[in-house]
Amino acid sequence: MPQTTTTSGQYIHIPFCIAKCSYCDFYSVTDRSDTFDRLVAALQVEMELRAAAGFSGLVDTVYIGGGTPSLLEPRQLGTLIDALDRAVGLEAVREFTVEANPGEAPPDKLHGFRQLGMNRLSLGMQSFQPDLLRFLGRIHNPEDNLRTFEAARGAGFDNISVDLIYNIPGQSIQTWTADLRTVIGLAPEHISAYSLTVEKGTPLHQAVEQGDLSMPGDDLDADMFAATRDILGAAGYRPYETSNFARPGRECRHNLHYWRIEPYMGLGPSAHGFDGQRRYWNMADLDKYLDLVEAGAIPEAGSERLTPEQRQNERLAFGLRLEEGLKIRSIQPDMTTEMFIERYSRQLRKWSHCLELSGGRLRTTANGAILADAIAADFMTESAAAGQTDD
Amino acid sequence: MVKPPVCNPNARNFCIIAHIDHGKSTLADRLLETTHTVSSKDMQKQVLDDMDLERERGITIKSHPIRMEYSHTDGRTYTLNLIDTPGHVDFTYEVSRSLAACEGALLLVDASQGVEAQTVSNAFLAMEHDLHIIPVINKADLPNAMLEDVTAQIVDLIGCSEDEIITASAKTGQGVDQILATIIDRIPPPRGDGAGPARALIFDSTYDSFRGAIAYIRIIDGELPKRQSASFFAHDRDYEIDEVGIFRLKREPREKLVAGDVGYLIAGIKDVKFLQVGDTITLSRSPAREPLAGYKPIKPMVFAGLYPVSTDDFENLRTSLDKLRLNDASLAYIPETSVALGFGFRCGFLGLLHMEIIQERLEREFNLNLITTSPNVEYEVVTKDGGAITVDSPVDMPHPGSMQEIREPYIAAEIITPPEYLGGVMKLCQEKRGAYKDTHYMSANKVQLKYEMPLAEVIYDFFDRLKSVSRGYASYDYELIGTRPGALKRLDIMIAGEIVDALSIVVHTDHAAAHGRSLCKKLKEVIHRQQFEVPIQAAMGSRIIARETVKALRKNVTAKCYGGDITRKRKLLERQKEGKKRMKQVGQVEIPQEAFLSIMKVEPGD
Repeated sequence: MPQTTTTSGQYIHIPFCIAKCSYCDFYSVTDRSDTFDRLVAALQVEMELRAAAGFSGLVDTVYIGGGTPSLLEPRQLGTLIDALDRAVGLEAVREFTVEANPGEAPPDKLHGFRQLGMNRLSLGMQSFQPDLLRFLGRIHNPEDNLRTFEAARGAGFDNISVDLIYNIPGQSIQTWTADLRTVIGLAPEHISAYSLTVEKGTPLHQAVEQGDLSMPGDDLDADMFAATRDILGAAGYRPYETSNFARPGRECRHNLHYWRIEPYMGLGPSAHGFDGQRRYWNMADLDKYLDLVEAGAIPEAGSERLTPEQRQNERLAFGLRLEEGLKIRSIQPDMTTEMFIERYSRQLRKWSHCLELSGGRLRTTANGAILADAIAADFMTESAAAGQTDD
Repeated sequence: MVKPPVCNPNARNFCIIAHIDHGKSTLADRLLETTHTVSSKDMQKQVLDDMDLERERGITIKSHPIRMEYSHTDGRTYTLNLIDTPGHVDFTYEVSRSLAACEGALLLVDASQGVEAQTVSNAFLAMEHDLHIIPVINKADLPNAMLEDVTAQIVDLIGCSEDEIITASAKTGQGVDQILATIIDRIPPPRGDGAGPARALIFDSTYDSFRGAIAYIRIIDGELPKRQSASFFAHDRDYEIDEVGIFRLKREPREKLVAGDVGYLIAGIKDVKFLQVGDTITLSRSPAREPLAGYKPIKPMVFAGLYPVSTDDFENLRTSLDKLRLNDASLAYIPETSVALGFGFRCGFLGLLHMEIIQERLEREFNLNLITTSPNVEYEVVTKDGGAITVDSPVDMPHPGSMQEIREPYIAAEIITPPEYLGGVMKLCQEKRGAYKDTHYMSANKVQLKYEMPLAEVIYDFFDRLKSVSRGYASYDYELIGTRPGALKRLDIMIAGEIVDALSIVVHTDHAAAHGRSLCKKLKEVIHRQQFEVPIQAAMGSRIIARETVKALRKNVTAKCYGGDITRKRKLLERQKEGKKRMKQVGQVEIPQEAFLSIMKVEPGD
């Protein structure tokens, strides 16, 4: 069922970093600057292969992430963008984001990005505390945060997002709220505030497992979550997703494609894509990726065609994280609010103080946002039985 | 009474009895090899133990009969029927049933371990059945064999002379021919009236989904030919005999079985209540007048609730229990309802190992996911009005005000240990409310201790504790000796103010407070945070004796969604969902399965 009327996103993964951060579990490699051109060539081949195989949706967002995409030269990124325009067409693109690390994106590079049509910059500031930045394995300092932000404004970026991390061992609620106020002072259009999560395979995980380090704990984490919403809310940033805050109209359209279960094409090692029916994920290994693409093969490590049950589960998992909530008809096209209340009566009763149901949507309240996963998992227990009858 | 005549001078029926791990199954393997009963191609370790569980755990759970032929030095060929028996205390009843089908027993003793508790109890069982006992010291090839000491222990135990004891190694084959020759020379041939009315003792049974119930029988008098109508003493229904035969590695059909034979009988019996172990089979056409002496019915000692995790599985659990019972007559169960766990069964077991095995078989062979409640013994309650009731579930314990006394089952425990661990063993027995009775030195390295203890105190972890205080050297066995009054009380667990019936236990008043505290602490660890604060309390009657609190859930949402990796996030939540499905909802609180399991492992002071 190709959906020609829907819009879609375009993601390109640039897996290069100068250094690896202790907490990060995105796929990245260091010391491979010799491979930049080879990857750029391979990405062009992959986008042609995928476009030829047919991909639905009018592309309205592009996101170049990583890794550290700002390590590439504007020339290299320009080649990619031209190729992407030829392969999938970029005339309808309204939001074009590139990620950059403070201290690794000099002004001339930022100018170059603007000239290539990029109109949104995502800056991985993470913290303004030197000791916490060191702990996280970041190679920049708080001054770099400010310098790069000003340089981005100077280059003409009028849509900037800042990434920050809380729930870091050693971080107090005072230093965290101080960081938030610093960022509010910079007045970015968008702020992502993530609670530090211990992911398997990272040095952080190893340290916690070996007992060398302990995480701050649920209570402080919850306090920081609440403080974040209060402070950013008061400064005019709406919590449009669990960890994402924006001035009205400045929500990240690209990420909304993911969260609204809309299509996006993913390119590059470890990138994920979704055509509306099938999810795929590429090889999370630069050399295997390059070898496959250079041999003319689609570089996928795996894929799945969504069952009705999985589709419902995704809608529940992501819909309840959004301020706009979950559209009841997206669970099942013919579902009325009455049917929804009947099917999920137990869950609605149990979580009544955390949810509101109105306008054909289910949303978490201020109490509920912090429990969205527990609520979604509870609603999912009905999906298995219900999944049989729809689609 | 005049002994009946020898009916088959060339047959010998015997079993092997021993403490667990003393090498019964290995000796059986060697006997089968030496008599060429099993070809080398079919030979594998523990060849008679055909259940996966038996091989994995290295134990025998069910008796396994098999027939062998052996050419003796006197030039004649003899038929030997071997019945392999279980060695664990929980399965003593299997042993005693097999003994009734035999005239002799090999008493196997490990040369490095010496006489152990089940060696003693099995030897006494064999003597009660008037069996000729052939003592064998096994594993004599081991460097740490203590031949002299073990010889002294055996002489002390059965009063034989030293030269009657055969020194052997089932592993190397040493002494195996001597064992076979001695079986023929010393064990008497079967006696019975070969021409009289048929009488056969059912000493075990198994169930085949195609053929129905299969009786394991010993023919005492007369003969059982196929296609005759068989009748039974325990009920009025007659069945035509489809097939009779003998045991090889597989069943081997014969035209008939005759007095002295050990074999099987198939008669299309689909309902096992018509095939009772201990019953006597005769022929309808010329029935015998008197049945053979049967067995005392087996009484379960340990009770626990078995509940399906998914309520939809209740009927499935019932059918599975029905099927298991076909092969295990000692399993007892009746439906019960728990407020916390829904529909399930109160089951009676012979002991904790038996319970574990049943649970494992239900989960493995029938694909069930089960919650077992804390095991308990059966109590006798004398009420104020003078009545007496039997209570096998803590929930059914009457109100304390209406009870005059609670009586609990007591056992005579016999513990055998090297003398250096005597102190530790005695301390353990005291802790378990044991009353010291007697000490007996069996040899320089073996002491036998006798205690009387409440059964309830040994069903949890007594065996593990005994092994740990004796570095694995002590062994024990027990028999029931009746009931005695005890200062017992029901201990309830309340979660969020509601009594969770499946967590109630009966405890001795002296242990109650400590036990209550340990339980609350353990439950706090396994019950995850809920939307609200959850108090966990232990109560005796209306008195709260311990309390813990599970704090309210503050945060349950992942920060990041891994870029476009929607699949990973979905799978994380789907796993969380599966976890929820395995929880039991009690009132507003979700209680994980581990809560019901952990309660079994809790000891006061943990």
